[in-house]
Amino acid sequence: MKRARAGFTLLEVLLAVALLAAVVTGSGWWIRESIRRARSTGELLIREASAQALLDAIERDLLRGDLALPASFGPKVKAAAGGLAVATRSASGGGGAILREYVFRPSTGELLATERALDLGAASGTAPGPRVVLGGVRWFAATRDERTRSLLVEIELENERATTCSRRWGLP
Amino acid sequence: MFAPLGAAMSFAQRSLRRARDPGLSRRGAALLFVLAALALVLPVCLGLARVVTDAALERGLRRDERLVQEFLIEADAPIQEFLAAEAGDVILRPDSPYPALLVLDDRFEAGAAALELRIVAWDQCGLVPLDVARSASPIRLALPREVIETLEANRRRGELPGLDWFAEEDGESPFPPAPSVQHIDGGTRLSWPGSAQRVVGAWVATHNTAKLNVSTAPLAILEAALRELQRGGIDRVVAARQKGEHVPIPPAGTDAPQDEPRRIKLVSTSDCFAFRVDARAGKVRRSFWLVYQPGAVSEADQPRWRCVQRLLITTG
Repeated sequence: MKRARAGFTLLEVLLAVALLAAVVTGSGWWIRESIRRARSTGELLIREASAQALLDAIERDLLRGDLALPASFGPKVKAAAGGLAVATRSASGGGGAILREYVFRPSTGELLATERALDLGAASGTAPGPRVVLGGVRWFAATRDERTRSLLVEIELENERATTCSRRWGLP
Repeated sequence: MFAPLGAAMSFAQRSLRRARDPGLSRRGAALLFVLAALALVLPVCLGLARVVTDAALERGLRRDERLVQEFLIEADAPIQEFLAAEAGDVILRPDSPYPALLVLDDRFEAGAAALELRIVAWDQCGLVPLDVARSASPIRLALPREVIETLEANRRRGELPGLDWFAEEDGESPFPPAPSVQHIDGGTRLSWPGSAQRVVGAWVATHNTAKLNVSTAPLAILEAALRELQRGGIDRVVAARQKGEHVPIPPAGTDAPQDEPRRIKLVSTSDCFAFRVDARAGKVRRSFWLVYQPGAVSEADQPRWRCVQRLLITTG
């Protein structure tokens, strides 16, 4: 009796190779898509965290500073659709009273911050130029509600889900 | 000499014989497989555990941060209570090194977090007004050398003064440090660190233009002020403060010039207080410097105090 030969036929080998190629291609696509989604989610999380950090910074500006400003300096908080100005104190030593302004630049989707010495009697040098504090912003709005004496700040980030970070504070 | 070599040879031979045994080699392969799986699984588990721990820590810190912020807002209530009930009658012992007293020292537990709130009041009228400290007044000479040096190094002027005008030097904050509190026989005693002597905020007032409270000012400052005003009566002030009685304002001497403008005016009650608020929730600790002055008069003809300045103390 003729002994059966061990091994695969050509058809079986070809089928196995085709299957392996399909599995490798499918896995590759799946891994690439997963990485893309993970990156996009990671970036969104980082930008959300940045927006929250900016809201924390605005909260600190509101919390500290001169709460009974002379009339000549205007109110502590001035709010507008694309900007916010808060009279506060500089975080660095020797800074004293400052006016920190947040302005939204729609053309670049950036939120800029500037600060200048509020105290007119203080020796003032050249004010530093505006610096970008948040990028990828679709919309920024600060609304002051005189009835409830509160300030609402909303930041909409540029992404597919149009994520919005917002916070409301009671005004001093 | 050859004994170790022989032993090694026989061990190698035994190992080869075992390797040829199919049962043993299967067990070896299984062991290798388990080790490889462990090497893969362990780092993944450790990584996951780290991610979870970091997230929990961040959540905890955010919660504690929020609690501390709430503490700061809530600190207004005991401060207002102190200002309404006690601010007008503060009399400090003559040996008090600084015009400061404890308002609140509270510790309690909320869930897993230990909470602490300490408020120390600083009578701004018991300190040397900033303009006087910068002038050629004899009162300036009563200030410690380090404080005069700080004033010289920071000459900034303006309409919105604050202790943050004085930059930190060598990591030392311009704000008065927190004292340690000892509770003795139902009373409290504040002990000050040595650094207080060098700190501008422990000697100079930013929100008091020209007053010196005879009931709270340190004796050295008071003596210098009386000298400048050409008045006597320090003994009566010391005796009254020793007994905790109303302190009389020393009258002007007959030979003192009346028409000369004075930089400082003696008073027995204060209209400006600053408060150092130290709040701690869990691992988060924040310190603030709050300045209060009387605002509009209330319906009960009592001045309603309002917080006019709030600064964050970053060091010290």
